[in-house]
Amino acid sequence: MGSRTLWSFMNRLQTQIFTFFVVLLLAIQAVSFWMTYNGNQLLQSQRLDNQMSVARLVFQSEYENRNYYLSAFADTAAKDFGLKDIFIDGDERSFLVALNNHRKRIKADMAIAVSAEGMVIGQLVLEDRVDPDARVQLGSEQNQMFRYQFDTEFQTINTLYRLNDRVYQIRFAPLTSGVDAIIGWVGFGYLIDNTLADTLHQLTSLHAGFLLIDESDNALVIASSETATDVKNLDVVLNYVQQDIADLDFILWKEAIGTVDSQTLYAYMYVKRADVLQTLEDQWGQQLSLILLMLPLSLIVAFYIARSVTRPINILVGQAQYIAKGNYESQVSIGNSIEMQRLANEFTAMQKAIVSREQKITHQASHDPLTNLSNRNGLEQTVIPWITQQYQVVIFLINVRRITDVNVTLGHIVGDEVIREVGRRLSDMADIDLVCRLSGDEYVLAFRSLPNNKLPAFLERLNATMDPEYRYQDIALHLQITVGISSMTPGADLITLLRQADTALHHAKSNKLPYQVYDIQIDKNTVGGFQLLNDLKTAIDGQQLVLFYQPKMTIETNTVDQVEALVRWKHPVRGLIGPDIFIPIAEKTGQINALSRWVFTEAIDQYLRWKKQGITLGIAVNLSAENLANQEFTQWILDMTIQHDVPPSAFTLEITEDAVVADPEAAIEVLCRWKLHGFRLSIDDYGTGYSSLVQLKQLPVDELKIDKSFILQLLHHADDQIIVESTILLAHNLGLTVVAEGIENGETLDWLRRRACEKAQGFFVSRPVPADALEQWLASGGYVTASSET
Amino acid sequence: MRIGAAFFLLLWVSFSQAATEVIVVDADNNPLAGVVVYATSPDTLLSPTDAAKTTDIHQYNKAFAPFITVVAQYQTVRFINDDRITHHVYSAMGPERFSFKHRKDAPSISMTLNNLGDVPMGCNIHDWMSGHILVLPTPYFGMTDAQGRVSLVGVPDGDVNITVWHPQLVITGATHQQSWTISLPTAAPTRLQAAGTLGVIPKQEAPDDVDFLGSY
Repeated sequence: MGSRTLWSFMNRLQTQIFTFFVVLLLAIQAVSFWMTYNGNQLLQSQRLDNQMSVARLVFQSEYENRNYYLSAFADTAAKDFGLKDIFIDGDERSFLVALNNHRKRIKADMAIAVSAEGMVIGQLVLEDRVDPDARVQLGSEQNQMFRYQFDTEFQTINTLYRLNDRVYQIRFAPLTSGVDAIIGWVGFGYLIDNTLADTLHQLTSLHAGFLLIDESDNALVIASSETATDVKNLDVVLNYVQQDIADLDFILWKEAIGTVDSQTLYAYMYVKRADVLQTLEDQWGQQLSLILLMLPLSLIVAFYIARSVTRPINILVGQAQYIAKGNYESQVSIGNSIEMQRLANEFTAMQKAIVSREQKITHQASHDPLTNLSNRNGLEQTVIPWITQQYQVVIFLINVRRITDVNVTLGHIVGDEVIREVGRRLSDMADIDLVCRLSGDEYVLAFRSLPNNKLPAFLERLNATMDPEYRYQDIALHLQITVGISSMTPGADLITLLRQADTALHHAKSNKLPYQVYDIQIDKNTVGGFQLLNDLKTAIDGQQLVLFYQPKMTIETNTVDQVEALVRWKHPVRGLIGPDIFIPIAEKTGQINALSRWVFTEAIDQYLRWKKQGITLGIAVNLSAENLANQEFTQWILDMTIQHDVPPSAFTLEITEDAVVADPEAAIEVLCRWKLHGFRLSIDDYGTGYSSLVQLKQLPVDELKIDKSFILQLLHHADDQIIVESTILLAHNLGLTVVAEGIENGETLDWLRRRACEKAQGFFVSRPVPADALEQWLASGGYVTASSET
Repeated sequence: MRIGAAFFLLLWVSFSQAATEVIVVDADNNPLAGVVVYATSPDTLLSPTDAAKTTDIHQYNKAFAPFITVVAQYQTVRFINDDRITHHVYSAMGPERFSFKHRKDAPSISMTLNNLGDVPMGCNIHDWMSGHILVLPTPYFGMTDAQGRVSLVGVPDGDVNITVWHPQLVITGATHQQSWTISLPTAAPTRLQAAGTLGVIPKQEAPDDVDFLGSY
């Protein structure tokens, strides 16, 4: 939980921006710190270098100046004729005075004259140069042999002269008679003492001093800018001078000036690094404290920047949540910056785009793209509220007939145009509350309220609307529609209404009616079909199926020697169900063979039962195309007659015209085998299929049954009469007997009799009835079987 | 005619009697030119007539001419200022120390040299001027020519000291002279090799920075 909180905290933009700025600021300060530090270091080292090189120059200048002074002055003094004159006069006392006069002129600490023979003929030493009253005394080497050997280069070399504990810088010049005769040497010296060291110290601000180091490495400080010889950092100086070990806390300089009496004289200067850098350190400290002071300040600034950057985003987040709730009307406004205003504009634009797209999607969701009519969603959205408000809603389910044929023959473009046209015409009609297109060729007209008495008038108008030919390019189409109508009943919902309309529509279609108003009765037969699916298997296996028999009366003799077995389903719940309902189900669900086997087996049993009772009736059994295609079944039916020892000629197998058309060759082969076996064969529902006369000629059938659709209205339709008459003629010519179905009156029967139609079947003769009822009918009606007669 | 013959005879006798030929070379066997060569003998004494001899030393063109003047003891040198300017001639060391100003157009100044040795001279006004007077206890001296050759006339036979001297001749021990003892007469010129070489002889010329002197 804690890590998750941390994670979400770290992933916040504000945190990230803040972090970014903090890192940036730290980096900048680090760089600035580094640069300052480096600059300082550079400045330090430059300052130290400067100090050192200045010190070196100062020393050299000071020291060389003294040498130059001494040298130049010795030259001048040696050239002075006054001195030479003394030699001419031989006045030694005057010579010393003259020498001292010269010494005073340059405030030399020592003046010395050496004869050509090397005798110190004058040595004057100033005891204390600081004390103005100090006396000049004869040096301890007066009248002694000079300790050093002169040569011609004497005056040019860097000469140090030691007298007792004092070391002098000394320069000599030759005193000559003429040019090439040297009388002697005149020299002047400056003491290397604390005064010199002090001067160097004042000029360089470095501690300065001089020390002698003998061959045994013993050091003697002879001058120092510090008090006397009390050099505070003597060890450091000595280490550096003697062993060249530099203490890093000090800046050190040394120079070997020369040797005197086998001892090396060193000049040294030094300063404690810290002393030089003290001011720099102070600046450095200020800088550092400034940086430290800036740090929290920068952090606060970074925090505010991060917050001000993310504030518009937070506003946007709030705005987005607001929009997500469906509030599209708000104007987004965040901050004053151009970027944020643009973002806000984009946000507003997006909001509008969402609105428009949502409207489009909503429209598409509730509308059909082809016709732009409402679709099922639209229907639901509109009608469900009506139902809720208990309006007397009426639904028209309209099917455009033969649209599949149009698609196949004229193409989908024409099909679509037809669909659009129908939609247009429906939309143009007045009084319709809602026009929808449900699917391919199905439309729904919804009325919020449509009294029953207005229905016929509306249907009239609907017909009138659809009546005009529709011309698409050069094609003239007659728009035909079938209508299923359902109206609101208490407790129904839209789905029920649509299903009822659908049922009505199907009913209308199968009965070739232009429209059908839903009736509970239609529903019984139709809707149940779906539920019957599962029940059918149990029906076949159990005792729910029953055969009804309808007589096929011989017209000429008014006798019955044959009946058609028709299957009925005694549904335990739904009651008696006709074959129109469940045979298609059986066909679709692969149960037709089982059904046919039951029927045929039952027919044989009935035949045998009647046989026992002394009734001899041939039984016709309906077989479907499926049965014909099933080899097992075709053999089984042969085996059954043998197994039950019944004459095949007692059984007529009725096959619909369509069953033959499907696969004529296979059908003919099967029929030939059956024919050979002895079965009577009959073509059922003749005239509804599309069999050719060639096929009819080839079929090994005995009988032809004219479909009842030709017979029902036979007396009212001349064309039916032509068809029936010619069919009978044709059948007779082919050697077939003819059965007319659907005879409902005597006139029709008479008409057929006159045309020599062999058999009649229909309500006029008898409805299909159970076996026992048929027996009674046979007994009461005087219809006797042919065989019974014979 | 007889006088001329006698002079010729005398000259010949002198020559045949005492012409001592000496050739001086330095340590590197190079001839030493312009060095003083003189012979001394305990028997040799200077005659008073010799003292009457006067040798001139000119100050000409701000230089001593000659650079080296050799005289016998008690002889006189006469300083003659040929220049149109004043010189202040002095010697501050050696046997004869003196100092005098020698103005232009002033008469010559004579000086008798009674002490033996080298008298180094200078001019207090013209520092570069340099001259030497060598005062010898013998009349037998000469200066070598470019080949280092010199003839000393009249030196008596027997063992004599021959000394070679020059202010710039540097012999070990920082002296400027070297002596040999030879027996006269010698059949051939005596070759003497000095144990040193000749240093740089002062040029007696004004340094460049005082060139302006030429205009006065």
